[in-house]
Amino acid sequence: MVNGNPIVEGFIEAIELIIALDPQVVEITIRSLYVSLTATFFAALIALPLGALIYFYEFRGKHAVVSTLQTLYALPTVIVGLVMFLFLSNIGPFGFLRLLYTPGGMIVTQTVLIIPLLMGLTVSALSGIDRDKRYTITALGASRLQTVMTIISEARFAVMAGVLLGFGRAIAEVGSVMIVGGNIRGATRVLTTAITLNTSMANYSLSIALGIILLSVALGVNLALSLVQRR
Amino acid sequence: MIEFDRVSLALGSFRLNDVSLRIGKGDYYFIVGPSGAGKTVLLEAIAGLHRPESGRVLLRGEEITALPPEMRKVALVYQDYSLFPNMRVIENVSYGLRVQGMRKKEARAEVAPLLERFGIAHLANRYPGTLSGGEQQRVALARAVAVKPDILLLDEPLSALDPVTQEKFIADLKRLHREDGLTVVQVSHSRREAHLLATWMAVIIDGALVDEGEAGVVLNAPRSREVASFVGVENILDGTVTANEDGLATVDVGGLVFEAVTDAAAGEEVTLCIRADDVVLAVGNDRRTSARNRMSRTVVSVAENGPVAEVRVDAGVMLTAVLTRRSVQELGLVPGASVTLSVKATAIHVIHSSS
Repeated sequence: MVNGNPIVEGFIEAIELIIALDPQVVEITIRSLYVSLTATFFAALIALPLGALIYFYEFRGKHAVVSTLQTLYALPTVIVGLVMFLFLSNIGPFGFLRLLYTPGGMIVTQTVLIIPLLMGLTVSALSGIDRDKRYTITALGASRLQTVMTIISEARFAVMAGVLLGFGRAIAEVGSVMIVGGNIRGATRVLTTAITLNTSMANYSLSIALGIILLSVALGVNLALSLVQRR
Repeated sequence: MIEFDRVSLALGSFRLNDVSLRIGKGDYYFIVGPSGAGKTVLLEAIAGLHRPESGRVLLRGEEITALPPEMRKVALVYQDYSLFPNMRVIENVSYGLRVQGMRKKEARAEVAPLLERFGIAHLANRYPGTLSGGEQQRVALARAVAVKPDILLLDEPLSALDPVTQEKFIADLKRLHREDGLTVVQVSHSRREAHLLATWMAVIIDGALVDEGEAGVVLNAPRSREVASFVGVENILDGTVTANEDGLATVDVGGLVFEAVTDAAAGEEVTLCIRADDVVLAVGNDRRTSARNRMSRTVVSVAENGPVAEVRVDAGVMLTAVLTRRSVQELGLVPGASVTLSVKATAIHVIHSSS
């Protein structure tokens, strides 16, 4: 153990925890990735077709819908957490699912949180395919479905970038998973909630170790994003 | 082949008004007009991308007003080429055949001769983003031709190309029209392109078709002052007919008198259109010619442009003549020089004021 600055000491211990693959660090990291990746998968499954639907179909209030989605990008996560808590608690309409304080509940909450972001970004990604290209595809003899599929295929890198951003928001999010998951050790504790708790308990080494991992994940997402955007 | 019968349509705040036109099989049909006039909307309406509010569209005499674009056997090439950036050249060119149900292998075999023909076979596995503007244009054209369209629609296809590539592309288009007998409709605002390619021409201004006819007629004998100005008639003069004897009218243009062949009656307001090519300049006053309009005046400016020069002469009104640079040198034409300017009465196109 090095004596001196607790931050320096904590940092060194954190590196040791990561190198030694500390079981608690590994377990929290795996749970975080599992919850956020699953939430991103389900959100993409729902938001991508809905975003495409909004882009391809003309309807009254379309502009208002897109504006609302964009407003929801900045939705406070604690508000989502509170609403989901009420929905999933025993007094709520989905209490019978018994998802409160489970990873399942956290997945549902993060899914709800990032759906507007993925929908909005899907609309933006598809809007990047200009009108001339759309008309060219149609004039070349493509049916409506073939036109839709070609446009989605052409926008796939922009859509993927949106999905990566959604994952980034999900894994970095703390407020709603704290409320819905309860930060239960061995059950619902994830990187962000563990950092919050351990910092308040002055357990800096574990917080820094988890922080480094969270930053590494964020860095990985950013790298993937820049690779995708380069296409 | 395709006919618009009093077609009107609205697109946001823009309106295409009561357009009637007929594009014949094998025509190279130019649609010209100023920016925002509705040229592209008209082209897209031919493709079936906009449904008319009223009027009919006929193909070989059969009404196709409601026929969707994918059923019309047209292909559209936009100014920016609209290539698919995530598809290789071969995939771009074979796209139309693939969506029409052809297998990948067959489609690729089908377009292979086209890639050779357009000189892009060596680029088959490249992505559009790695190609030059000229190469992208040829890929876009090959993709359009690959579906064997009845009508090829081109939206200002030359505007983004450098002059050298433009010349090559014009040669490609000429060959395509002549050898394949393809019907081509091209939107353009270039009179030069029209001169080189068009067999038939329509002028559209503010959503209305204001002139249509054989390209040579529209360019040299425009129907209105507005069209004359748009198609680039260099000398447009407003005047009054003072007399007309057997179809040879005397027209007073601000004190300057011209003789022109027209049926306009005395007292009628007219516009005279004189192409700069038809204005002949001579030095000295001793040459006898058959030209009815002849006057001695002073050169105001000489602007050289490649092998030709534009000479402006103050004749009371400003008149422009186009000469070869060699003629300018041989005649010693410089600002201030005296010249004799002549224009044949038959070279003056007269537009009646009611047009």
